[in-house]
Amino acid sequence: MSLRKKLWSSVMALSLVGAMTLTGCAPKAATPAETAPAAGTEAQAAAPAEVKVDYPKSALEFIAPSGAGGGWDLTIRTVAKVLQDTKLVEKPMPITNNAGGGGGVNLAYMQTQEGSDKLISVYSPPILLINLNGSSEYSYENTTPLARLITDYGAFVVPKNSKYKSIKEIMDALKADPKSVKIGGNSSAGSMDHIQFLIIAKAAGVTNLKEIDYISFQDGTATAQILGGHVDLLTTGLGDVQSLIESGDLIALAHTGAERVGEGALAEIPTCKEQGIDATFENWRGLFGAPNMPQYAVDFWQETLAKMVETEEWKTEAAKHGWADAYMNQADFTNFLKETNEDYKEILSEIGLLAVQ
Amino acid sequence: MEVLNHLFAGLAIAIQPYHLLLITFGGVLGTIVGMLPGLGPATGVAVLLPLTFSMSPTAALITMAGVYYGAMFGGSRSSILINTPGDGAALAATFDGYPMAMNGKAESALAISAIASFIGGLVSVVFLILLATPVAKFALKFGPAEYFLLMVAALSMTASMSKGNMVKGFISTIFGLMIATVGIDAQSGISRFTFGILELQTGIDFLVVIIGLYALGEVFKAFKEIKEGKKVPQTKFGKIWITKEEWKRTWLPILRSTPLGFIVGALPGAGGTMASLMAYNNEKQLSKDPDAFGKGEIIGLAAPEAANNAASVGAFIPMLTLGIPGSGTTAIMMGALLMLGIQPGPLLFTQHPDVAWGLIASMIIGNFILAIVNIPMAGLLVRVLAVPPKILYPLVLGLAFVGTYAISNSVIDFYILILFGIVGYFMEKIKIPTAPMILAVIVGGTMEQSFRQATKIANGSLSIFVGSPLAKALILITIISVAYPAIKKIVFKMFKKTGSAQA
Amino acid sequence: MENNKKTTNYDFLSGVISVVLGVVYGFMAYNIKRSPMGNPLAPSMFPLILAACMIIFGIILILKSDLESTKRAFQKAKEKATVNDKESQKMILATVLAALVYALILEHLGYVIATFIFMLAMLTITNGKKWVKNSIVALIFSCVVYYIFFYLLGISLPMTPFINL
Repeated sequence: MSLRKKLWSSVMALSLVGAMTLTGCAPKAATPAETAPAAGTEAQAAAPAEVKVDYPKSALEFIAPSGAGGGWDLTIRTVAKVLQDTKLVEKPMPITNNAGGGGGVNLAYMQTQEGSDKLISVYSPPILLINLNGSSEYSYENTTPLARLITDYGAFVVPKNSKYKSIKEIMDALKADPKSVKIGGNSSAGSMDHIQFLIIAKAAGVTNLKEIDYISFQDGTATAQILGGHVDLLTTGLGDVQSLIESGDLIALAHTGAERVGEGALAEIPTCKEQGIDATFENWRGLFGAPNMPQYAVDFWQETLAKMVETEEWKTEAAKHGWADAYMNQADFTNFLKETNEDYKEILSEIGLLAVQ
Repeated sequence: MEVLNHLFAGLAIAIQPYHLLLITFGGVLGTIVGMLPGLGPATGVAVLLPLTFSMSPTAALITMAGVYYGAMFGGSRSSILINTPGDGAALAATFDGYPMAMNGKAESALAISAIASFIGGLVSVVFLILLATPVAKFALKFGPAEYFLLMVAALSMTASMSKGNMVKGFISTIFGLMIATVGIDAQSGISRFTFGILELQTGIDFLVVIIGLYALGEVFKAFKEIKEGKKVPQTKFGKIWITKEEWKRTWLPILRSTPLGFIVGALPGAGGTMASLMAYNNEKQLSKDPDAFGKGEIIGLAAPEAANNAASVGAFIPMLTLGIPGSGTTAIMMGALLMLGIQPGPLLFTQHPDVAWGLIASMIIGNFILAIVNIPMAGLLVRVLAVPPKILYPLVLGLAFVGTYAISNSVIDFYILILFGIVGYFMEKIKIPTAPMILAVIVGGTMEQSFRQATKIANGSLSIFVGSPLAKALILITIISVAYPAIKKIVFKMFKKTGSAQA
Repeated sequence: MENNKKTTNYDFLSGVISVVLGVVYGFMAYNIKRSPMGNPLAPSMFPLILAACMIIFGIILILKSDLESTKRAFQKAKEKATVNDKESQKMILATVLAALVYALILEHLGYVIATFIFMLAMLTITNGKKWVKNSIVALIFSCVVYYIFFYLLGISLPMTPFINL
C-alpha cells in the first residue's frame, strides 16, 4: 500500500512540475507556503522556488498512540485543530487512536509504514522508557523525530492535611527510612511517574532508590487515592492535578520545571531547584514521523511546525492546557532525545529495570 | 432552595431547542453504539470528540452524556435479542433477558429494560443533585484494601451462586483470574504471559472474552438447532409493554438496585459492569425463588438494567466534584472539556455553574427522551427475531468480529475471540459454568493489583485489610452474602419447627 | 438397566484438564522474570497461588469423580450422536476455519472484501449453496457495516487496497 502511495505521489509530483514549467507559473494554492497566510514574509518569498513536491497532497494520518482523552490524544488533536484553523495545512488530518503497550503497539505499526510521508504521531518520554525497560524493541531511533513542541512538568502533591510541608522533608524521610513514604502514581513501575520521582530523589541524595515503594494505580485512580490519604505522595503531571491544587484539596510540594510556571495557585508552587535539589524533569511532547520519512515531507513539517508554534491560535491553546512552549527543531530534538535517553538509562539501571540490550 | 434555583437555571439551558436536539442526537447515537457488540459508551463518546470542538462546553458535555446513558439503554437490546452483550455493563442482561426472549417474552423483556433504565437513570440524577458531595467523600474512603475486599465480595457472591458443583465454580473462577494476569504487571513493570506479543502487554480485554463466549458460543449452539430445524423465526409480535403483574414484581428490585448502582458507579474504576452484576446477585439472594434466575426471571433483568444506568450517572460524581475520571467514558469527556478550556474539578460548580447544572438538567430531560424513543425503537428491533436463524447467526458473527476489531484495532483480538469461542463451547460440553470466569476476568486485574498495593502500603502486613471500619463492613457483607442462603434455610427450618411444635 | 443408574459426567476429564492447566501455568508463572525491586517473586506470587489452587481443585474433582463415568459419558455421547450432532460439529469446525482465514486476510484485503468473503462462507455453511442470495446478503452486510463504522462513527477499519475506500 505504501509503495503504491509513493508511486502515486511521485507521479503526481512529476505531472505538477511538468505543468508548472509548461505554464511558467506556480499553480495557485498548491504549494504549502502559499496555503499559509499566517506565515512570515521571508518564508513566503523563499518558498515557491524551493518547493518541488506538492505535499501534502491527500489526507494525512495523525495517530495518538493512546486511547481518546489522554495526554497524547489531546496534544495531537490540538495540533491538528491549530493547523486547520490557521490553514497551515489544508488537507484533512483524521486522528486515529492506536492504543496498546504504552505506545509500543503504534511504534510497531510505524515500522510497517516505513517511508510513509503522511504518518504523524505524537510521543513523550515513554517512547524512550518502553524501549529501555524492554517492553518495546523499537525506540525513537526507529522513527523520524520531527519537532519537540511543548512540555508539561511533573508535580509532587500531598493531601492538604499531610505532615510533609516541603519536598525536602520527603527526601529526608526517605533517607532515614526508604519505606516511610509511600509514593503513588498512575503509570506502571519503571514508567514516567515513577522515573520522574526517582530522578529528583537521586539528585536530592537519596540512595537505595530500589527500596522506595512506588505504588502504581490503574485507570487514573491514583488521584483519588491521594485525596483519600491512602498514599503519602502522588507523583503525576502538573496539568492533571491543576484544578485540585487551585481548590486547595491538594498541596503541591514542588514541580520539576526549571522555573516557576503559570499564574495564581500554580505560580506559587516552588521548583525542586529552589529547594536545593538540582534536577528537572520535563514531560515533553513531540511529533514523530514514520522511519525514513521522505525528505520533502520532513522539510515541510520543519517549516510548518516552526510557523505553527508562533501563531496566536497555538499560544492560546497551549496556555489553556498549561503547556509550556518547548519548541525544538529536528536537529536539536534528535540530540535532546539522545541525551535524555542516556539519563533515563542510568536511573533504570539503578533500579534494575533496564533491559539487557 | 439554592439547589432548586440552580436546577431551574440548568433546565432553562437544557430545554433550549438546540440543546434538546443534541440530547436526542446523543441519546440515539448512544443507543445504537451500545447495541453493537464491542462498542460501548467509551467508543461513542470518542466518536463525538471531533464534533464537540465546534460546540460550546455545555453543548459538548450534554451530547456526550447523552451518549453515555443512551448506551446503557441500548446495551441490553442485543443481550436480550441475540445473547450478545453490547458492552460489559449489559452482560448481566443476558442472564435472564435472553431466556425471556426465548420464552416468547421478548416484548416485555425489552420494555422492562427500558423502564428499569429510565427509573434507574432518573432517580440517580436526583441522588446526584442531593448527594454528590457526600458520595464523593465516601468514594475516597476506598483505598487499595477496600477495593480488594470489594472485588472479593463480588467474586464470592458469584461463586457461591453457582448451582450444583462448587468445585467447578471455583475452577472457572481461577481460570478467569489466570486470564486476567496476562499483560504488564503494573507494580513491577514486568510482563507476564505475553509470549512476546506486543498487543498482549495491555492484557486481554474482557469484552473480547465476553463476545467470544457469548456471541460465538451462541452461534455454535444454534448450529444444531438450525440443522434440526428447531429454530423458527418469531412471526407474531405483541406490544412492547409489561403487564401489571410484572410491574408489581419488579418495582421494588428496580428501586433497590438504583442506589447500589449509583454508589458503585461513583467509585473510580469500578463501573457499570460491577454495578449490574452486584445488583443481579443481590436480587437473586433476596429472591424467594432463586432457581428461577437464569431461566427468564424478569427481576433478573430489571435489577441490573436499573443498576447500570444508575452507575453511569454515579460515574459523573468524581469528574464533576473532583476532576478525576470515574470511568473510561468520563475520562474521554474530561479530555474533551480540557480541549474546550474547561478544567473539571472542585471549582467547576462555582466557576461554570451553567455547564455543571446544564449537564445535570439535561440528564433529567434525556432520560425522558430516551424512554420515549426507546419503546417504539424496541418495537422495530424485536423484528430481528423474525430473521431466519440461517441468516441471523452469520450476521451476529459478522457484528461480533467488527465489534472486536473496533476495541483495539488489531487482528490479534480475532484470534483471542476465536479461541474463547472454542473454549466456551467445550466448557459448556463438560459443564463448567462460564459466569464466574467472566466476572473473574473483569475484576481479576484490579483484585491482584489492589492486594499488592495494600500490602506495599502496609509494609507487608495483612492488618490493613481489617484496618478501617469500611473494610470491616465489606468483610461482614461478604460473609453474610455467602452464608445468606444457608442462614435462610436454617431460619426457615427453625421457624417451621417452632411452628409445628406450637401446633 | 443397571447402566442407567450409573452417572455419566466429564468431571474426571475436567479434573485432569485443570491439573494439566495448573501445572503448565504454574511452570510459566515460575519462569516470569524476577522483579529487581522489592520482593523478587512479587510478580509471580499471585499466578503461583492460582496455579496451586487450580491443581488442588483439579485433584478434588478427580477424587470426587471416577474414570468410568467419564468413559461412559463419551460412549453415551457417541451412541446418542445423531446426524445433526455430527453435522453441527462440522459446521463449528468450518466456522473456526473461516474465522481464521478472515483474521489472516482482513488487513491485506481490507474490511469490505475480507468480510464479504467471510460472510459468504458463513452463509454457505448455514444457509446452503444459495450463491445469489448469500452473495447479496454478504455484500450488503459488509458495505453497510463499513459505511456505518467508517463514515458515520469515524472508526477506522482496514481500507480496501487500490481504491482507497
